Amino acid sequence: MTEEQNKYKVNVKKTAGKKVDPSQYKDFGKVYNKYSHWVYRNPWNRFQFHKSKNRKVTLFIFLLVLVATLVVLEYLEEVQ
Amino acid sequence: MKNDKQLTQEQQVILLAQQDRKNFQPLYEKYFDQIYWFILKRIGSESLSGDICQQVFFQAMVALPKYRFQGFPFSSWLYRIALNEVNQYYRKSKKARYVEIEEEHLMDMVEEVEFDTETVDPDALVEKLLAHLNPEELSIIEMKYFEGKGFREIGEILSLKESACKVRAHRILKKLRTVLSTLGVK
Repeated sequence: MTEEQNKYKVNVKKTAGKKVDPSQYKDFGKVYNKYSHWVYRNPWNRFQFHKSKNRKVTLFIFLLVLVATLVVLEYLEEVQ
Repeated sequence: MKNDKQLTQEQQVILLAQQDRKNFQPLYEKYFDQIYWFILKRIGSESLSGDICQQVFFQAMVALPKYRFQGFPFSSWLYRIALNEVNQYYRKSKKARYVEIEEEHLMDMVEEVEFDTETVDPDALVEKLLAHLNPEELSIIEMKYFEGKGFREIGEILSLKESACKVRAHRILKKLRTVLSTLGVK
């Protein structure tokens, strides 16, 4: 057999056959659990989980940079 | 009119689900069966199709904020995810693709490709013909002739325009007729 003939496994159904009942595989809780675990483990969502703390830290860093810039400018003026 | 009303109701459910994924359950209950059968036709194994179907709905929940209503039913979006998952399964497992055809649908394709069923066995010949198609071409043939979907819906599932789908289907049939002539079948 050539590679092309092995490419697809074709099944021609002569009769309609029994219809499968998918309800045994239906479980929303399982999918939702998987999703909530994904949300918990996702780095961006972990970051968002601490967003109030992050905001405070960001503000602190911003103020620190501002103060440092002003100090440097003052120092340069004094030198000149 | 009724269809429009249903659509707006569904959009409201989608909006609620985008805010909180717990509200995704009505959509899950509504579309699970049809997505399961869509996958089963391409995978063949019942339990494996169940697992892939769960994965499809998980991916849909993850990607739901990106979903925008563009005039197509929500099911088309789910079919697209399902098709991607099936493709990914075959890429990883490197198994031969499973294609399920009901005999009545097989005859529709035989009529389109135009070959004499009295001189050759259509089952064996269709198997040979499909082997000449790539997975995307096979998807178009499966959806058009074995599942009876319209070009508009196929286009939405494959992210193509309706006209592009028609052109591709026409080219695939032309290709199959060429293959038939090289095989010496009339």
